[in-house]
Amino acid sequence: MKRIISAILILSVLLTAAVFGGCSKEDQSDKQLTVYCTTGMKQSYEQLFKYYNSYCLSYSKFGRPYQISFVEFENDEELYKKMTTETMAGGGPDIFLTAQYLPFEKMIGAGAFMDIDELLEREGYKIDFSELNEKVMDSGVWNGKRYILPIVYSARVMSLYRYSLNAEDMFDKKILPDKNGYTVTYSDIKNMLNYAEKSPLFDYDSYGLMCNLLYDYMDMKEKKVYFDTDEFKENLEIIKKLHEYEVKREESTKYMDEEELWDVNDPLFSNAQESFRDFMGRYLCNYTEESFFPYYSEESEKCNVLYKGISKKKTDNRGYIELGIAINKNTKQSKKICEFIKFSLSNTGQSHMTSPYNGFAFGSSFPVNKETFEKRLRNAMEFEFVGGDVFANHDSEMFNTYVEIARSVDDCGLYSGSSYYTTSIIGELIEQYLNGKLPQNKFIRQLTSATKFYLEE
Amino acid sequence: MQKIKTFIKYIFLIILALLFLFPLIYMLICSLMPSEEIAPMLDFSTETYKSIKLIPDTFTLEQFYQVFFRRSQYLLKFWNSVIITFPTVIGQVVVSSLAAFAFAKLKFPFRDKLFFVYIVLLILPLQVTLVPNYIVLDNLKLLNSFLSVILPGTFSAFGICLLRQCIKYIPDSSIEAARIDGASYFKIFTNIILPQIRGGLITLALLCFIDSWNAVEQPLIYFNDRAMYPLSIGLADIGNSDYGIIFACGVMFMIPPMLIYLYGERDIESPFTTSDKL
Amino acid sequence: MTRKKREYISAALFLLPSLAGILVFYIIPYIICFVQSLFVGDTFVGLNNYISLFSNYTFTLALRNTAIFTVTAIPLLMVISFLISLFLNSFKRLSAFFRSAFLIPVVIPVASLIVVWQVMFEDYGAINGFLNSLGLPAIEFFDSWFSMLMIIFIYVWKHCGFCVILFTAGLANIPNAYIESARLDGASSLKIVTRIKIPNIAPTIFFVFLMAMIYSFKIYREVFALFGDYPNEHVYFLQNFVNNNYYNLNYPRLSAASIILSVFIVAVLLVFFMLERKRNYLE
Repeated sequence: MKRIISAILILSVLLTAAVFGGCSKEDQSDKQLTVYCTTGMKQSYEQLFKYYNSYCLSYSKFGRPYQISFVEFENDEELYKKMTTETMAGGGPDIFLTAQYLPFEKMIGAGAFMDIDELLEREGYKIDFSELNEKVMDSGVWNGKRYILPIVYSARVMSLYRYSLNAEDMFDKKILPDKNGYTVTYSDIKNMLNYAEKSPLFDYDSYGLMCNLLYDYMDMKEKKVYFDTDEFKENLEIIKKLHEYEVKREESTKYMDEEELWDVNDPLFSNAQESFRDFMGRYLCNYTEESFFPYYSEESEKCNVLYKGISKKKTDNRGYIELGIAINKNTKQSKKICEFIKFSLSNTGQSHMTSPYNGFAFGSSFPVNKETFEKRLRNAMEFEFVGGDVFANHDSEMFNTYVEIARSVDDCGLYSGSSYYTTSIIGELIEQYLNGKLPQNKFIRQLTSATKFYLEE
Repeated sequence: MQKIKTFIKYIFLIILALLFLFPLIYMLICSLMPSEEIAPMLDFSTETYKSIKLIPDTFTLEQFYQVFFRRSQYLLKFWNSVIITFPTVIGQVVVSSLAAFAFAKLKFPFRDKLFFVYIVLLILPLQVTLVPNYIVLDNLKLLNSFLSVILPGTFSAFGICLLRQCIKYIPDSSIEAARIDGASYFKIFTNIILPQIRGGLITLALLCFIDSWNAVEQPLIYFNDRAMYPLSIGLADIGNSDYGIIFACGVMFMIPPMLIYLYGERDIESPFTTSDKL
Repeated sequence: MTRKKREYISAALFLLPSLAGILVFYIIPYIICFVQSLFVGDTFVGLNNYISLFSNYTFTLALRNTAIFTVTAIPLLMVISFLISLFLNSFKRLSAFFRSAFLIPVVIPVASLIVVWQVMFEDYGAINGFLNSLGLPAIEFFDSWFSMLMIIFIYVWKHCGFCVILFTAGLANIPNAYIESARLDGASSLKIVTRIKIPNIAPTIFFVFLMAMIYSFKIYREVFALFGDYPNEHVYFLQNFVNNNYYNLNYPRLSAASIILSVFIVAVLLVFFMLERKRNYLE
């Protein structure tokens, strides 16, 4: 009997070893680098890495094995589940993109990512980080190790319709100054609330604003939250009011037809980010459309005014990482990844990543490579568009302000707008609060405890 | 004096019983209310205190109609629950009774130490084996099939501990007699043991059924396909959207365990009440 | 083939299905869990995971909450169900209705009752309405240490019935002779209970304790249904910690926490087993 039992024990140990050590050392040299994505997003990602892939094939000696391939999944949930469980079992994608909905801040703590500095050193690659925007690159450094590599970043700016501001006498009433580069803070928004009732302040939705507010009052690296300050409570109120107005407006315009809708939904101030970035991006890449110029051309009376914001303090200049990559610790393709990193931080790589043709709307983002930054600036300066009565002044104050803001970004957050944290962890709380189902003190209490648990776990 | 005492005792008993039955009664009543009455009751944001309505203003079967005919996804979830639970119960009863017999009546080395291991495994909370089980199931290619929840449930040690207690009461003499008559152990098992622990088997079936019926963690993690989720998960979701049918769904969800309980009611109590010495 | 050998082989055959299943689905995963807790990804870190766990604030909080619940709820459940079974025993005849009334809470699925609990315990729910009418301030059951109380209440409510049945059975097995003779000797009811009844149902007490312990971990289902993934700090249990770490991809921490949980349980069990050995009732 004893022999049988000991045989069973030995068998079980062997079985465990077999099960656990399932990933044998296969030959990895022929496999491509993998990125996981949903079927919907595949095309955009393909566009993003198109140049690198063709570079591998045609312009370099690397060939197919160095290219990036995409593993498709039907929907977000399946993607997430497969990604997490495969990573747990020792596999997973080689590269994670910060644009994907993952708890990056937790994964760093869990040791799921490789230290990029160490990786480069191990493989013998030298990347001169002084060529890159230090402040932006620093945002990928957690606890002294570089886990996230920003590739392109963006600044928080707003472009507002000057003529509407004038029409409402905002400048005269000293609510906002008629000056490019002024930093809009939450208290400024508070002063504009009565205008918000009539028409949308921005094309931002209140949910996105709420997310940004939360990131502003939270320090993911230090695992601290600052939700109990009075300032935060005031700002919460402001955003809630904006949301209320938004909902009211949607209700009242539910049955309007398109033309009427156009009039009502004409925001008092133009879109804080989207169309401005769109325009600026194309502007920076020497391609743009005539219809945009009146708003950005100084000679036009319709020219917009550019503000920095929305910031917590007047001295803040917070940007965010538009796209960053993190490397899976389980990866076996170190050399290929190093090549990819080297490429994406180089001049050619960066210019292509920030081209508007890449389909991922990065035309308006700024490259981290300082040389590429300045080169694009020079290109834009030399660009002249003359069409009809409109003349584009590329040397406009607005444009220069924008570039200066982007150049002097002093801190980059990982996200802008929704992320894994705001949707999966506190998504319900936010929804309940914005819809009035949760009083503010309870919301703050639950938010603080949930966030603290989430960061510390 | 005695009569008053008895009277007070009965009153106390009724209060106690009501305390235990109250949520059930409330749920039944609410399932008969139309949605208009339920919605304000479940809206916790208005700052008025809710009162417990015991008598619905209107008496309607509307909710049940909705569940059965309109929102068929809940019926699907119900069937998923059934598909998961029934095989688990049957499997557990079979496997556990065999093993319990061995532990209770047969002698073999390591018997007690092994039983201790079983008890430890029994008390181990689900979370300990949840994630590694995923790896094992993945290697066995059983993920995303109902078997991934059925199999671990079948082999839970709960049944063995329970049935062992029951089998112990069967006097050794009857087994000895059968051995002398030349019966094999299996025959002893089927002809002597099984009929006598009928109550234990039914108790096990009921408890195992309830446990499986309520399972939440395993389906969430082992199933990829949302359509396979059982009702235990689905009910938690309803709370956020369809307030009206939540009670009717709850009642429907409750019916199978109740049926089993009512069927085996007498037998459940018997293994614990008919024994000479513990 | 000797008789003993035949017995061994038969036992092995009877045990085979169960053993095979337990091996694959319980023992091997447990071993995997243990091995995984010693690694972070591919590197062996030894006990590092455990050490970092104990310096983690959320883990110690979860541990503390789980311990508080276990230490409070289990004895409470045992005492209350024992008292109720004594009470029920004092009736000459008890109709089946009353006996089954107590078992009903076990039968009702967790998910069906969530709304009922919410209606009762929410800030503007029935209980607070009742308190309000008495002029007392409202209790935030979902947001303060009363949450723990609420969970304990639900736990006791739900499992009382089963424990009552176990105790009733145990009490019914005490030969009437003991009680009669004690009565004749003039012992008071209290003395009868403490000196005769309790010692005689020691195995039942052990079994009830076992059941109570098993159910105390199952209570997580109610907590999850009522509070979601991130309850307030008073009802944040070890199971929450483990589950959330699964979603956050922190497998080293998850495995280490699970192993600690299991060690904790085994320790408690060992203590109890020792006590039982002393009394020599079980085996």
